[in-house]
Amino acid sequence: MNPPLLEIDALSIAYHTDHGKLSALRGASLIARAGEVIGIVGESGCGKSTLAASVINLLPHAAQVTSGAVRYKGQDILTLPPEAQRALRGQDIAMIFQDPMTAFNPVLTMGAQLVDFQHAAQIPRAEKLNRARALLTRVGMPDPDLTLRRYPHQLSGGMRQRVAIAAALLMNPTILVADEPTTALDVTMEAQIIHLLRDLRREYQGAILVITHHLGVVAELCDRVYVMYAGEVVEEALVDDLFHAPRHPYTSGLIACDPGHFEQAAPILPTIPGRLPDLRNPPIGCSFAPRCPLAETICATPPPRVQISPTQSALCHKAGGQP
Amino acid sequence: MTLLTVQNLALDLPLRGGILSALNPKSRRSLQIFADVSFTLNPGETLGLVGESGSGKTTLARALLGLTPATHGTIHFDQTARRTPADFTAMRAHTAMMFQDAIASLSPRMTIGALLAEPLTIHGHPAPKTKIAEMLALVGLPPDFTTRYPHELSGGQARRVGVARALVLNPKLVIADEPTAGLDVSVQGEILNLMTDLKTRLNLSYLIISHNLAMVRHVSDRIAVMYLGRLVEIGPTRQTFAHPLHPYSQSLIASEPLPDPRKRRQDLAIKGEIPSLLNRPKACVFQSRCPLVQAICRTDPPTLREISPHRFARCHFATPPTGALS
Repeated sequence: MNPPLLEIDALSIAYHTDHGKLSALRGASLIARAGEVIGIVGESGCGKSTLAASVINLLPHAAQVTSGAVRYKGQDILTLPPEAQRALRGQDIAMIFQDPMTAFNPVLTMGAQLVDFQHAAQIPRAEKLNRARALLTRVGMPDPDLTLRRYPHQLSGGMRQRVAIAAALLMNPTILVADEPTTALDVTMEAQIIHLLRDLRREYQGAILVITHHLGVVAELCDRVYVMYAGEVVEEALVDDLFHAPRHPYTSGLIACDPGHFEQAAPILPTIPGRLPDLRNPPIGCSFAPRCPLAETICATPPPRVQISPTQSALCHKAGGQP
Repeated sequence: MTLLTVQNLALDLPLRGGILSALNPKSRRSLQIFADVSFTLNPGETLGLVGESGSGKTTLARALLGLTPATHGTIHFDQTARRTPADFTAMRAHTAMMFQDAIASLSPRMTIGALLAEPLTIHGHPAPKTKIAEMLALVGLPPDFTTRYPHELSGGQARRVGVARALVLNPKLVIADEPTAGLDVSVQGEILNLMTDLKTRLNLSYLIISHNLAMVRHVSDRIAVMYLGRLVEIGPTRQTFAHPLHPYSQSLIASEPLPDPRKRRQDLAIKGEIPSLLNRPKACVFQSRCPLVQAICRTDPPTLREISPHRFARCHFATPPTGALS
């Protein structure tokens, strides 16, 4: 098996807020190898965007890494000096943001921005433009030369997201982080972007991290999945196991709630009653226990990470038994 | 007897022109948002209206309540034609709208109690505290919410207040624009179950507007598909999802990512993207993306015709589904 390109090791991150310290990530671990598409899935407030931001160390000022490490090719990037981090960003690790409108400068043409993104490359401007043109063709822009002369507002949401993907690939990064890449798009454009990302991965040598709340996107695109809840990775599994043999009750609940899941119309939709715990004062025991249908008294103690197979684990007292 | 009958409804919005158009009113252009929209809604029925952004769903909803006046066509509510602003004011006492952005639709300076009393006051009814408490209980919120402000609510709670505010006038028809947008999937069901429960208890009719096909499928009796300002298909939900008649409905349903890695879509259902309303294709609006396009689609606009019982599609080539389902 390939050595991991990216290794997030028991990472904890806290935000300093007016109402106290909020533990957004609590000992989250993740591994990504070359050629893998990793899904990070969870609902709002589960810490998935904080995890994504830590990979590229674009954490806001109020965030503080309290413990753990993010290793890229074995080197802890969080302790690198800012210049070294900046050199990694874009060149080795690139990001596709949720909103392709705000990811571009509205007063510069796409061509100018796609050239700027290559500022670290020691090649003439004409060559940078050629490279931009080639990538625009690759992501399926119908008229790349016209696109280079366009401003962001002249492109539709789906087209902007294609250009954003081209921009992320410009420097041939080893790790591509896509934060909710299809959330702002309509369903037919979403299908096209999923198709494009799936197509790109065949020729792409690196690892792709897809952060999403949409289980359909995970099922269509990912090889391995990390499910997050209240700042913790509660389950890690191959995509098929996750959907067909989930072992954490939160994973099962999340899949059951997805209305896309039923063949027949269901008059009453399943829900997960209750709310997320307050992360300013995280529970000592299992953070999902108050909402869990299987909870017992033991769940008030910290849950173990049960290794179900070499590729699947769940943070749950009850994951040891038969599914 | 139908509750709402809409016939040939159309809406044009004026385009803001340059300085020359201000001098010469004849040169002022307008943009057709939707046209030729006809459908009915029965008491106690839920109609799901689906389509992508820019298809005209929200503008249609606003036109139905007279918030943006339609340019052509007729709206009958409760067997009465609604034309003038006064007609619509009277109609709005029996209808309600749940707006897309639940938190933004609540005034940040008013308490939840005041927000719930507001529709009653507007329509000249008394607003006793008991009525407010009753509404909060109906949507499953604790009574102390009367003194809270919108910023203190979670997304799901704000949705519940939106439901309570919609129902306070005891309406016959509720128009819900994206009732679950922005909600997590584990909370989405709570709002939909609440809406379903209240529908049976209060004998409501719903028009639910959404781009979320999976959700609409579970809550609607019938479904209407809109594309570039035209209804392209309308019919019972189950049959429409099983055998969509219009090529756009087919590709829309086939584009939805399914939460099962064993059912990955191998080929793309639809290529290209929705044209701008400014460049709406002539004749059939779907011709620029349609896999079945023929010469006739570029010359003759198709009409919404009944293909099989209760099922309508706007396509020259739609045929009744073969197979068990009718």
